Amino acid sequence: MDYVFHFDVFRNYAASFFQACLLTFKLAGICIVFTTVFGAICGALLTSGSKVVKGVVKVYVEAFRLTPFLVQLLFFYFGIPLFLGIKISSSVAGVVTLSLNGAAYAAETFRAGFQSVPTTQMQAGLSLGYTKAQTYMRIIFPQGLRIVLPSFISSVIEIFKDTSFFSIIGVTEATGQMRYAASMTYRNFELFTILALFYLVCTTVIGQLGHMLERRLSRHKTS
Amino acid sequence: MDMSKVVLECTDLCKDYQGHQILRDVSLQVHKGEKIVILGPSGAGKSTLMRCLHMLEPVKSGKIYLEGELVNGWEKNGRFVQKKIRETVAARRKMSTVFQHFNLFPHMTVKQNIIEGPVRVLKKSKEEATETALKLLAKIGLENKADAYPSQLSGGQQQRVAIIRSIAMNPVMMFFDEVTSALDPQLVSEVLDLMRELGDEGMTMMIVTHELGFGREIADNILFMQDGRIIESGPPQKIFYDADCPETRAFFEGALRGKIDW
Amino acid sequence: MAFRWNIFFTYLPILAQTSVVTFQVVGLSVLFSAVLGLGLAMLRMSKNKIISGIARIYIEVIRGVPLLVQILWLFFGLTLLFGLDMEPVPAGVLNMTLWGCVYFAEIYRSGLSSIHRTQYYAGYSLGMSPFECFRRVILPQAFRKIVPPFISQVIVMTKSSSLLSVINVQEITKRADTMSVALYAPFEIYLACGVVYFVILFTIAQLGKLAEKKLRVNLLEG
Repeated sequence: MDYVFHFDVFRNYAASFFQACLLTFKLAGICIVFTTVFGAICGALLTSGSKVVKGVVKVYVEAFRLTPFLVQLLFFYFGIPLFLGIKISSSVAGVVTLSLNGAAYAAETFRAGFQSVPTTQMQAGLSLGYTKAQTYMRIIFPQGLRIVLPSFISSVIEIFKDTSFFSIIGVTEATGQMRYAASMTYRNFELFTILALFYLVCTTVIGQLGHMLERRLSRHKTS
Repeated sequence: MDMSKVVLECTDLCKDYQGHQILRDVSLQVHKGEKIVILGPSGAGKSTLMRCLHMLEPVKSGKIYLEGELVNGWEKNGRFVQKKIRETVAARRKMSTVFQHFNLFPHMTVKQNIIEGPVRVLKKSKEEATETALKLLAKIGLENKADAYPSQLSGGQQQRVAIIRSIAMNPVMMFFDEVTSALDPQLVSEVLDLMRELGDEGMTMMIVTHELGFGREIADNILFMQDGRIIESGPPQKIFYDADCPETRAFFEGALRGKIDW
Repeated sequence: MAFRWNIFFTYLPILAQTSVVTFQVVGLSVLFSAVLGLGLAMLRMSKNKIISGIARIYIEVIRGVPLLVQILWLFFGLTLLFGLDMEPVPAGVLNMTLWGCVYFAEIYRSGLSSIHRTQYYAGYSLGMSPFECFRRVILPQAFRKIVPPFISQVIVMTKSSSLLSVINVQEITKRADTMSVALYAPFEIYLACGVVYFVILFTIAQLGKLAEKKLRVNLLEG
């Protein structure tokens, strides 16, 4: 193996990589927020909705869970604009697809969590004069989230990692930027190692934050 | 009860776990046909003691004798060497334990659960073991559940099957580790009745229980444990009402005030 | 624009045929990962702190880095380092195996540790040796508990195989890419592509549920 390591080429691309990482955080953040909200709503519908509503949500969840994310992404980015004649940027397409995908998984996670919350909690909320929706927001969701927090944090980490797919449709987030840099310098090994380290550090941090959150929340458990 | 025959004996058992002393110099004797009930606060080491006596877990130091023989180790050149778990098979199979939770093997039917020990360990034939199993099941009125899975039985039924699974091994003594603590109240009495029946038939028993009334009724000897030590031992009348040690008095005063209905 | 049904139905069978490649790649990857994962799980559960530490680091790295980045690193990065020229399919299988074995290892580990300690005691109480107890009592239960997440992981790996299109493995997604560009019909083609995957994965999921029923996994509760 006669290969001279040239990590210094990274210096030329460091600034743009930094920007790309910020973009990754931004995109992941939006997706996570949307996934949590929409996923929780779907989870609630799966728990307490009418048969028709449950059926619709189930179809949505299965459609997104039994097809590859890459195919969903390509379909939304290339297919939808051509079919509907509207123009969307690759970032928007990516965010929409990842959010819908993430929410489908989150819906299942939240459903399990909501079903583990004792039914008396719903009754308590309704007896206070809340609507079903309000009870979910203020009483069921916080407790349900606590129960499934580990799974939820896992989902968050997956969403963060899946932003790497956006490079395939031309978004210059972390992976996209590095692929571009690699194509310019052919220093693939060094650059992709740095890229891997970036993701590793971020996912580790998210995981640790998740653990801390778990510990803080379980301090006040009554059972 | 035959006070002349010592079935089980241990001297100076010590055990610790992650720096915590769970058993401190515990010594006791169990005689043939005797019913010993171990009482005490949670964390006293009662369950651990029984698991160690049955050699399901190793001790840090101390000796255990079954029917006069040293069973938990060897004397080698004046030093005492502990046996590993797989080396204690012969002694382990002479005793039986019934547990609080997860007693039966969920992936086997009731019948398979009962014949597993006799066939695999005692090397009996499948036919012989099955015959015994069905007889024992009939004795407790569950012969129609022979091919059911444990999850299809109630908690009380599961525990009674667990008890006869132990009986099928023909043990010289049986350990009962809080066997009714996880049961709904209405299922407790069917298990206690079976234990009484066993006791009347002469089985040597060591019992850890929270059912103080049952303990007082069935015990020949009560051991009161706290913090890994046997604080006091004696017949029920003494321990419950006229104990020597202040810790014992304190425990039973609190217990009697609250729980027991005579 | 109207949905061009003719394109959809003409090319759907062609994409379906390409699934053979996907089956081969995923099949090999699952086989190798499942076996390697067993070894990794044993290393992870080893009493030796150094061995289990290394195993743990490997697991954390694979789980913390996106599969796409791992593929890029291995295929474009590592091969450049060693001056190797790797065929896409073997590289793809290698990638998926190194990645997948971690998930199988975690499945095995959590399946085994979910067996309550009392089951060990109950086995020993009947006079079994630790080996016998493991074989007759623990392993049958752990096996049943592993089946559902195992099937899940097979589904995940099948979906992830679509990423191998970036290293030019001629599986379903890559084929769909080529077609949609040639025909200028991404909507119809990618929809067909999704349908093909859906049918495959739905079937696997149903087979999984059937297996669960036959093994009576549900009976393990309580």
